[in-house]
Amino acid sequence: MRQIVVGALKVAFAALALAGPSSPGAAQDLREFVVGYLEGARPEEVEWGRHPADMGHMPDFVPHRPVAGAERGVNDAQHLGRLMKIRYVLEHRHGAGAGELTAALKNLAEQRRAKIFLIDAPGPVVAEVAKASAGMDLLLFNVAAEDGALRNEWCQPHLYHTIPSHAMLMDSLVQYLMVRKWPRVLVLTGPDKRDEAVAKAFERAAKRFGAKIADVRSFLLTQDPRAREVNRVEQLTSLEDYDVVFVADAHGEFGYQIPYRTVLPRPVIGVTGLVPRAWHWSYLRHGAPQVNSRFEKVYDRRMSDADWAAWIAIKVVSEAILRTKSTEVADIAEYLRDQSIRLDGFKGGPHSFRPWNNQMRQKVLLVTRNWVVAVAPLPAFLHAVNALDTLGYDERDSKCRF
Amino acid sequence: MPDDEKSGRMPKIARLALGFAALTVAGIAFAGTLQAKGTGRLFISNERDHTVTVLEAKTLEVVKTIPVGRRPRDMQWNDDKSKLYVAASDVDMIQVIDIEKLEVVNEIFAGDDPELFEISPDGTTIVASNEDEDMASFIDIDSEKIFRQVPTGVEPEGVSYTADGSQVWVTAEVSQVVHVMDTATGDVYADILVGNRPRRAVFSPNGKEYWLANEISANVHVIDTSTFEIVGEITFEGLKGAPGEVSPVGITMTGDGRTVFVTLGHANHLAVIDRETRKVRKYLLVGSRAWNTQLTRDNKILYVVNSGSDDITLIDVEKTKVIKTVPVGRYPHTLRIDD
Repeated sequence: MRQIVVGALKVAFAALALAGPSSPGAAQDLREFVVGYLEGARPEEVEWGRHPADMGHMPDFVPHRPVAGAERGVNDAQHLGRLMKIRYVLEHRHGAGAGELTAALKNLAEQRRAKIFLIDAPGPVVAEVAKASAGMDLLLFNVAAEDGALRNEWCQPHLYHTIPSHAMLMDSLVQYLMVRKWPRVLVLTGPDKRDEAVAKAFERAAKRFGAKIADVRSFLLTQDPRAREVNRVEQLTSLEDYDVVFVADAHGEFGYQIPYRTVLPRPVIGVTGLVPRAWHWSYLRHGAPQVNSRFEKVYDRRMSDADWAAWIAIKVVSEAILRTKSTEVADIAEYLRDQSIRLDGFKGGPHSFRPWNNQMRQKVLLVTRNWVVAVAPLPAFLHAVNALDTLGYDERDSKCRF
Repeated sequence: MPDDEKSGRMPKIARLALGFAALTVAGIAFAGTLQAKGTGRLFISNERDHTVTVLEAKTLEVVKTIPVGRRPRDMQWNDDKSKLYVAASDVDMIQVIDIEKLEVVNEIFAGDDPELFEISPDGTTIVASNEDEDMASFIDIDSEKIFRQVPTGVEPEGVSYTADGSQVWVTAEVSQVVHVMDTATGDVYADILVGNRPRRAVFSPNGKEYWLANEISANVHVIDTSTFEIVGEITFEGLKGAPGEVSPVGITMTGDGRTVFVTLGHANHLAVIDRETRKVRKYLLVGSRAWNTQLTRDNKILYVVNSGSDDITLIDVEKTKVIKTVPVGRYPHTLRIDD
């Protein structure tokens, strides 16, 4: 593998300097290169927000859409657009569902010759748009949906994922539990479909790495005194013993109430406490503070996981264009397929794409509300090819067939 | 040397005169005498302590811990080493430490978040990379004013003046380029596409090569300074059993241009490279997240700054062996020697 790295880099760096005086940022003679940004309707449960008390008084608690990350990506790419004589333009389109988003995609592809699209929508919508755009001369980057099915049954050869899957996130969390020797887990899960998906991913991770599920219990967000079995933390966490409580709760409102209210004094993980994330503002290594600081200066808020995923998608595309000296979809796709590329995600280690499902290999941060406790994969977990493939669907587990 | 330590610095004129005499009378054989003119003290910037640690050269004991502006990073000497300039990144300043008083006596606004900088060979100008602003700031030292800002790629870092002062080469980490700038006009001659996350670089003593450390690509590029083309690449496959990713950052060349030292960051090693053959001669285990390096003027000792273990490692250059490791402040960044 290492030999390949050397060879490929030599080829990539064969033709390099573009000499002659130029003034950075000059816009003259630059050809437009459109990046489409497709934004689906905000899922109802996210609209509801994190906590009612915060909704009214803390606007920062309202989840922001990651188009800001895409804007930063275009801004960063712009600096070197001049090397390729192109000017990146981000075209932001909204759509209620897959139909409207597909129409927006087709319109941008036909009218503006857009070849690169980012999509910020729920998993099933991403899947539909990807299916409807199959065979077109374009690449679609999923920057927000963590659904496992998108990396498996719903995969498409032109669909890439820069956001980690539920499986990658849960594998990271369980690796940490195993290193800490906290293997016995009480799983609490909500009624949302996504809670079920996250809980399943957690159980899969537990099986992979040898954690034990002490029990799986469902909760309901209600004050109904007749439902105390499922709405009281005391009842839900009453069990002989366990090392940690794992909570799957897409809404967050119930999950946030659990720490310090468990029957046994045990850490809470998953939705609060220790949470696996693609990105976090508190990370201090690998140049992350600079990326966060540049983002925060412009948007006056923290950079989210999806912001990072949108930013890195555009960074990767602009890098592919620079390295291949081409804006053709086939050349960009070939670059992304190259297993020797070393993409810089600012969280350590080179990233690349898994050829079997187009998922970006990456490190996962395990964070509290203000600190990165550990970075996965944990050093104890080894892999024959790439340690990053201990997270998520490895080639042999993949149900994706391009 | 011990006398120097007690009496402080020899007056500037005497030092210059002695240096001149040594050079003219005895030439290079007296280089040792020449380097003994300074106190030999080590100055280390500590990024998270907001201090500069001063160590005695021989005993490696702390002489003083100088409070400076927030997040001190790169440091450079003025030509007679009476002043040490320190980039205090979080307060957007380059501060000036008086070497006799061992305190900050002045500060110069250096643009947003100055990270690395160099002083022009004629001593009149500072060029600083403004990491958060994507600029290279040209500062006139006399008037203490920024007289030019040149836009760079994203997150500019390494700044290297050519020996004749006509060009300054600036790396941009995120954009993966090196900009070659005309120092007279600020025009960018060339944007050289390099490896992923280019960090620091050094010119060979003959000025013909620019050696660049690419952190994420995990390699070093050798660039021909006349054609701006990459003519060589050094990789580090030979290093086995490193605790983390090979991430080259710091780079130093011996005065005879024969040996290049490259720190491998998270791999906790230093690579010793033969410049002519471009082959790694040896790997030395140093501290955690080894970044910057500094050679003594006589090229006998190399100091490696380990920002992940809050210490510095001393290397015997001739024997290519680690001498010892000494603790300093939190997140040490740069080391300079008063020699």
